[in-house]
Amino acid sequence: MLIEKSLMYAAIALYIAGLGCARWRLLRFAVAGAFALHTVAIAIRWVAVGHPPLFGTYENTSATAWFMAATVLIVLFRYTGAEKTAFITLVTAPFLMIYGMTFNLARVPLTISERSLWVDFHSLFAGISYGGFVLAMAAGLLGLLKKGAELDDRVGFRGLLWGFGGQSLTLFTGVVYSYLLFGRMWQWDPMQTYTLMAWLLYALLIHLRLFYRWEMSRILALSLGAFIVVALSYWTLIYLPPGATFHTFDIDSRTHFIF
Amino acid sequence: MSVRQIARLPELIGSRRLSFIIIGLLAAYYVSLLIFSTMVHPAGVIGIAKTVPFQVLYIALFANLLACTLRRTPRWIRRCMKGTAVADDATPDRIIAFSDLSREQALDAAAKALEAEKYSLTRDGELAGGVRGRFGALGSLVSHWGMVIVLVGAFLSLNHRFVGEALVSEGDKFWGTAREYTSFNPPTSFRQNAPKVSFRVDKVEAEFWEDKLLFTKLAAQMHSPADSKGEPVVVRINEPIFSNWYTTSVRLTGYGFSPKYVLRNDMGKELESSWVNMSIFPPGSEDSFRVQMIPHRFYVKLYPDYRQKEGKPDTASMNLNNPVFHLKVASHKIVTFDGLLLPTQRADVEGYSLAFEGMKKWATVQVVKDAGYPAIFVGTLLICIGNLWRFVFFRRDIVAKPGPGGQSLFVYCRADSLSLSDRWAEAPLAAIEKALADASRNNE
Repeated sequence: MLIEKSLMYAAIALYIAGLGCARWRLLRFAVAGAFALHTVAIAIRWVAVGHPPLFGTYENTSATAWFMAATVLIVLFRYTGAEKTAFITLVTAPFLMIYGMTFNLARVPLTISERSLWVDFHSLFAGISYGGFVLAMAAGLLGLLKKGAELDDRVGFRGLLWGFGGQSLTLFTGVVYSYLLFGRMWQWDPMQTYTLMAWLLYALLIHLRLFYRWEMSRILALSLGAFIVVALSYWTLIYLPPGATFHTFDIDSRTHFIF
Repeated sequence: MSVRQIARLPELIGSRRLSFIIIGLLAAYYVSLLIFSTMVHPAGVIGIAKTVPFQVLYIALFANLLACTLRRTPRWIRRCMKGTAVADDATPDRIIAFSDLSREQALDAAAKALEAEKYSLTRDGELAGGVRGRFGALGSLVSHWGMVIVLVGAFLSLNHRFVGEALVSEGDKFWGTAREYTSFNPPTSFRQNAPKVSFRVDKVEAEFWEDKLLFTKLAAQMHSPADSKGEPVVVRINEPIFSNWYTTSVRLTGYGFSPKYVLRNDMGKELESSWVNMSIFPPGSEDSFRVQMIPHRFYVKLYPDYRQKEGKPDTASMNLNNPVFHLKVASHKIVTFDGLLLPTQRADVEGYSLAFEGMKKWATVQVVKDAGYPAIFVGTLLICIGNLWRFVFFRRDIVAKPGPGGQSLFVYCRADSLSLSDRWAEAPLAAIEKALADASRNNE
């Protein structure tokens, strides 16, 4: 546990250091280094707990930050000129990790209801889609601040499409697993409601681009609204009354406030 | 309403504007559901989601989606058939100069380069063009029909769903009759709604993590149909048995213990014995039963892995390693026995004795018949395939035309606006440049 925690703190420090870099080149290397440390920390936990570390707020924040960092790395190494979008995408990742580390870090085996490849893939696609949506949000924010270029819009819109594709797969795997586990495909769990709402909003934006040729910057600015729904679905469920959702996996039922 | 207006009705139902209005209303509806979900029990939220206004919204969505999809299907197919073309007023994306080549030779070289890049070619005297991802538009077709199928599945699921719960002990058979279910829904028209299903529970296995009520294993070995022989099927909480084209599923949802009590008289003669399904798990739960011969009620608690902790009975784990019962016998509110009972011990009660001489497990089994499941499975899968198909195998067109003066090629690149790559043109453009350079060199 000590090694895992040390690696996590080192990764957080390096992500933050990367954000403070004056040069994009340094940001690239800092993120790559932090990502490597973060990956090792996740691998250690995976081996120790015997399942992909995606459950409970600590594991969930760590995995989501990892997907965000992976998205940032792809942008930094593939698109020269879209560094601002990458920078904004990365901003919340280390703070998300710090937030996650305020929760119980104990290594607990999965209960039988969480042991399934369907669940693993469900979480994997959710992580991919979150990375894509954060990228779209970052490009949208840049556009609103009039700081973005055409490349930022293009990268952001790709992020939106990746996110939408990933979210479709998240819904598919979730629906199937819900039926396997509960005998019911849809239960209007708050997470399901949030996700369906976000999926419809992103679908609406894609159709606006497709049919009315709305500019990418406009679509991305509007996607901020849809992203708020996604972010709420990820980070507010734990504050709902006990029993309101089956999408919380923390072993302690304490309500955590970061303020 | 005029005839003309009636004729325009399908157009109105399938209009984009209506789609946007419905999606907006749905979003508002989901916000209201989210607010409810913080205030009422999840079952209450499901009830609210089924109320008439929301059903009307879904019917509107279905009509709109179906009309949209039907109207656009021929267009999507036509788009797949469409060859390469570039608008006359388009601006070229790249101008590639060449020398020592005729216009024809340059176009031939460009066509060969595009062919090598796996573009299907269009070559005439004036241009060389290529298309990749010609069938990308089919992705939209697939995903929209997928959504139609999902809504049909949701309708089937809402209106023709049967859920039954049964409690079956190890070694017992279940034949699917109404009286074997502890509960079922809908409560009427059982014969019409209930699936034809039978099974036998051979063994129930449960394991836990440390001393916590955290299942690391919960499985039942079953035979379905009940009379079948051969290897049993292992059913878990998230791995049901499916039958009837995946419309019927049987899953394990919980388990408990059935102790076997034996009642004897003071001569030691057995008067009565039976297995009794009790809710005495998790530890601390108390359940009771009565026997026919005497008026007493027997209250039972179970310590599956008995130990003393601070002088009080406790359990070291959830596993059945060292079972000890806590038995309380009462008659007309007068307690006549209250103490711990090992499986080998007897409790003496007013001339009778009671002992627990065996223990087996029972399983709670959920039987679900839902014709919507296969449809929703296929529909959501089609949505995913369609989306990814459209985004990954997107249509891309490249056209090369001779520029004015005949010593350059104007190359136009166009791609579907829903593509996952914006660097797709780099490789074919580089290939055309290289092909022209090679052809020029060869001509020299």
